[in-house]
Amino acid sequence: MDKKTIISSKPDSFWNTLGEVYSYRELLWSLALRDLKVKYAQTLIGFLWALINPLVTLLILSFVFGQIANVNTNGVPHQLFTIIGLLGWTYFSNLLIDSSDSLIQNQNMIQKIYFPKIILPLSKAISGLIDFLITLFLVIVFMFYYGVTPSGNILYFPFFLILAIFAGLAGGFWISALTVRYRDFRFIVNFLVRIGLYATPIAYASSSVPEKFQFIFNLNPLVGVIEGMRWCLLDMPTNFDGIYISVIVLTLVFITGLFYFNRVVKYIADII
Amino acid sequence: MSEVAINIENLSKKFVINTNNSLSLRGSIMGLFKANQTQEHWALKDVSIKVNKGEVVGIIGSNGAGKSTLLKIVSKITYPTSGKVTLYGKVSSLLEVGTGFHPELSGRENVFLNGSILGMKRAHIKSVFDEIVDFSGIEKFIDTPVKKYSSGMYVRLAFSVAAFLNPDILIVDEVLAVGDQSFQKKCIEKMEAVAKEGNTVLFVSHNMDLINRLCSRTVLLENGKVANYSKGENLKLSQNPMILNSNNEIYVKELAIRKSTSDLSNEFKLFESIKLSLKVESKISIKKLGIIIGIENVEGKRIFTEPSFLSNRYYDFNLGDNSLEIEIPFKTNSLYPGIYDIVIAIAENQSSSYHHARFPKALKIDSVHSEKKYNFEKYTGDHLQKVIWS
Repeated sequence: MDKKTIISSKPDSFWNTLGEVYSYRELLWSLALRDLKVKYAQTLIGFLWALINPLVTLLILSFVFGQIANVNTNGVPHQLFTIIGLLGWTYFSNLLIDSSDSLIQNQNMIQKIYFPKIILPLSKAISGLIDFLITLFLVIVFMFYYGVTPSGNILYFPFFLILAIFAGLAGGFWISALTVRYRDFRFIVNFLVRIGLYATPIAYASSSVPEKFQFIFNLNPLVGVIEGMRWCLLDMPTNFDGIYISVIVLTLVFITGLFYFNRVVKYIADII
Repeated sequence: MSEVAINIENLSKKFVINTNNSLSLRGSIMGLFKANQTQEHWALKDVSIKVNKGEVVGIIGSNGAGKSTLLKIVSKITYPTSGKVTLYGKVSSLLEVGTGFHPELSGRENVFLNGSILGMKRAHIKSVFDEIVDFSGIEKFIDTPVKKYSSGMYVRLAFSVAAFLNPDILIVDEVLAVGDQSFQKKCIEKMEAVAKEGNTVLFVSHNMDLINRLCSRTVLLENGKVANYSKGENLKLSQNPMILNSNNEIYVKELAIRKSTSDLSNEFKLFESIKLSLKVESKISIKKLGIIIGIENVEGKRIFTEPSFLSNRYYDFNLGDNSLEIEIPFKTNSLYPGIYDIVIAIAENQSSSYHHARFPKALKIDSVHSEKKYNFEKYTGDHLQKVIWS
């Protein structure tokens, strides 16, 4: 019996889309691989840039927050404290920026061939993992240098990585789908990332945020991700409220984003 | 009873043309306060086409007739507004060669990338990789970034990947016209092979030669509707001119097409002589104007132009509502079987025209030879020449 495809004005159901993603899983890898190869193509030092980038940011942040502001890090060396913050933040912000732009970037492909569009933001989550691993390597080097041994909490580390992926994708689904119609959101992403760099406890601890701002502060889902990663690697007391709120906020944004994305892709080729 | 491969039922697609800019956030917000001025445009209206397994169907039509929209719907790129398409079997669509090719990547990397975009499995690409490279004829440069390729090399590699898709149903949009002559020949042969293997092909092209050569049937789309279903069926020929350009002083009121027997007709056999007579109405009195007659095929390709200047023939037009009849006999009708538009211009010289009108699908040439029972459908070209064989 031949495979039967029906095309009508009714949109694909959510489960149908999920099945499609599975059958196009090779494309997911191909696109992630393409991004990686293209990113460092024709550069002299290639992947070394993935090492230099976080180091430079670390240098600036630890100078401003560590040396000038001298923030409280509960006794953890400021460099180590900050590089773990950067680990989660850089992965998240790159994923947010790349996935938000993924539909626009590939509009030619979208107009010429059928494939489940959700593969575009998803592939960014995979290609970003290489940079993540390189930063993780830096974290390990710093931990060795400062003689810090991780506690048993490290078993929870994958959970917080997944949380970071969800956070980036949740934003990416929403913004990429919105950008299809309103290019304005391309600028909004930049704002979000710039604000987020300071609104997220990357170079300071969330315990230093005044009590009256705590609730609003915790609404930022990245608070939970970064506090959680620190809790895993450094075994320092953490902001569990932030983690719970992050999970709830993220689940909400992720699911609504998924549905909105699925709705927009139906007529994407007509309006992109 | 043959099996159906593609069943298109009452397919319609509406586009909404927004006159105020709702594609920006500002436009959208403004739109909340003032009435949205939208226009509807039906790119496809109630299109029904059935394609059987193993058939190669060509879709033709002028620009904006809805061909691409139809292919995009059948390829699942865009959704119909109403109606349904049912496809039986594995579908591959090829609306462009080299979709997803990245200039920074090497030919090899792009073959794998493009292959997986086209829905090929990695293992399958690996197994036919050497054949793909061999077919493209660029093995020397396979590890060079494609941005350094010439455009010919680029499309050759891109087409080669697509040539090794093996779908049950192939949807192709005008992508065959790539590369140089010899590569084009290779592509067409490949397409013919695909068709011969019993695959179903839906094919859009402006190249009538190719359509005639590859397709067992053609569908003519016009303004989003199926205008003509098959080569054999009768086409409703139109009589109403489309004014392309006019200063409203002189215009062609009527075009009559006659056989040598003076009977009015639109349908002619091969080589049968054609007489055109024009009724021209004039609001000015003017002397020495030329008449230019053009014949164009359904794709809008000019087959020939016949200006009366060439024969030093000029016409005088009188003031008032009087009309005159001009008879233009074609000595030999060398038109290839098909449907043609007649374009008429009245002009002072080549650069200044008073009136320019098109009579769409005014002429139909049968494929059967008037004397001998000879079917010309299998051959292609624009002209037939009667030569004297010795």
